[in-house]
Amino acid sequence: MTRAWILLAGALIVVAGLSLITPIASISELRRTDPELAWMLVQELRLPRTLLALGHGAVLGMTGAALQATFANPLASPDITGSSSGAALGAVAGGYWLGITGPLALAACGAAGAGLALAALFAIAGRRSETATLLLAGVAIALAAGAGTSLLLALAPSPFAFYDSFEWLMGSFVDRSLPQAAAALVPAALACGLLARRAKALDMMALGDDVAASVGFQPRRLAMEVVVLTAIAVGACVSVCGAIAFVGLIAPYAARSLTRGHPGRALIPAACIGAILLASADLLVRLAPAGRAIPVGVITTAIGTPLFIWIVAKMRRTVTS
Amino acid sequence: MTALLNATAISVDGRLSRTDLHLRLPQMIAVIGPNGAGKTSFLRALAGIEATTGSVAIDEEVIAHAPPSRRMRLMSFMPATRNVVWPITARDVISLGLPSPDPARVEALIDVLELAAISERPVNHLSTGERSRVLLARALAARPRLLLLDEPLSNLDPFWVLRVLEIVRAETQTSGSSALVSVHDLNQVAAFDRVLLLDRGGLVADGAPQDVLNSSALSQAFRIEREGSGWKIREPA
Repeated sequence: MTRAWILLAGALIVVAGLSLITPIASISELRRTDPELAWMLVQELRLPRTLLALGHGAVLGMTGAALQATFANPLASPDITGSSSGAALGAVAGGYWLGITGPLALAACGAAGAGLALAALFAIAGRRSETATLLLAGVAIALAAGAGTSLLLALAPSPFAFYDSFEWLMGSFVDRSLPQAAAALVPAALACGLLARRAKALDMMALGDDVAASVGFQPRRLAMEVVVLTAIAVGACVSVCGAIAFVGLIAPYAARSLTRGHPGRALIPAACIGAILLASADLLVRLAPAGRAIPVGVITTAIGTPLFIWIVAKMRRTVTS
Repeated sequence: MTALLNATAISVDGRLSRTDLHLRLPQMIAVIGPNGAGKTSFLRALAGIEATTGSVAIDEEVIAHAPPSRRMRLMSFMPATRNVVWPITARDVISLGLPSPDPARVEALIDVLELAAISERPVNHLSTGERSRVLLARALAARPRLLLLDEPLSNLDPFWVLRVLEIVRAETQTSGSSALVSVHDLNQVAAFDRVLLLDRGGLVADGAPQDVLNSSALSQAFRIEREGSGWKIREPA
């Protein structure tokens, strides 16, 4: 485990460093002609981008791990429960219809959307539902939220809404300011800090609600706390950099192999792995031809889909055998 | 002498009417009753899981006010379901029963419940009987003052039924604790010091095994009666 921690920390530092300096050509060019501008480029453009990629990745990893522990299901994650789509709907409604421009207020809209999606999931599927029920309910909510988002964009007062949002909705960290990054990451960090404190309780929930309750944890309250904190963290991040699929599924899955299967202890490793994954995906995106932007979500989905199918196939085997 | 357990006026809406239970001496107590009599509700209410009213104190410490690490030393509950979703190893599941790490204790339980061969296997891949033993070890781990075991003998083969009774007996004797064990098989009841009979959400008999087994309350609750050394269905009156 200690070796795993060192590896994770090392990878985080490398990815963060690479994210700040890639592509190196423009920085070294500027350093020769205008060193001050080179510094500004790193500080004003690369720094918020790096922080957001790492932060959003960490949020997806940790909330994914918390949701999976809460729903006792390795497939629950911010995207599959519909909370990411709900956050996008909330942010679009706030930004294009309510005319909200303040990043913090938009983050609140995102959190409200994510919270509504999770509340709907509870209402439709319940917490200890079968995998199929959970997935179908999540898919239904994600599809409905997606359609709602499209409708709001199509009818938005601004004719450019659809065009603006294409890049944002599938995930992008380009051209975000430091205040925007702060609006996403400060609430997210607070929520994640509180989530991390539930690790022990979530481990006990692995033995079932009754055992957790007999020890003095309150399963229902714990589930509500996880939902609210997840909504805040995911909503704030999605409102600034869009909904990104599969990181919240992959990261906890990988993290649990480091914690010998314990779902609660996996929270912090999942955050580290999520941060590394998403920042790496954002590095890959920079290989796109000049003038063309590839949404980060395309990369994470390309990597995540096979893994998702593999987990589903494995679960089917354990259920039928 | 202080009371080991003072449960007053515990109840669960619709399933358990107001019930009191007081224990002074360390004892092994069987909880019996027909299906749906309220055995599980009774144990869950004592464990502080869903009691709608009443209070439970162990060694005069109210469990509702005890933090998790303390509560694990006061009482443990083993539910009737043996489901564990996550692939946690048997050894780690046992450790979850401890408020602070104690590898020697885990090792001793692995030994006594003969789990060495499966201790590194994920618990969700074990047979139900094996999982029962692992979950029992989890419940015993912190040497709690009160053990609440819901059907620990179901899913076990005859050897393990007898062995688990022995192990629980030894645990209660060495640590001076008590165990409340819900049991379906009336043949096992003789191994206990005291028997509580529940019917329709209420306590209807409480006494030594032979007295309760021969009581009319038991024959009424289960709708069976003695026939030689066995039982037969009671003729409708």
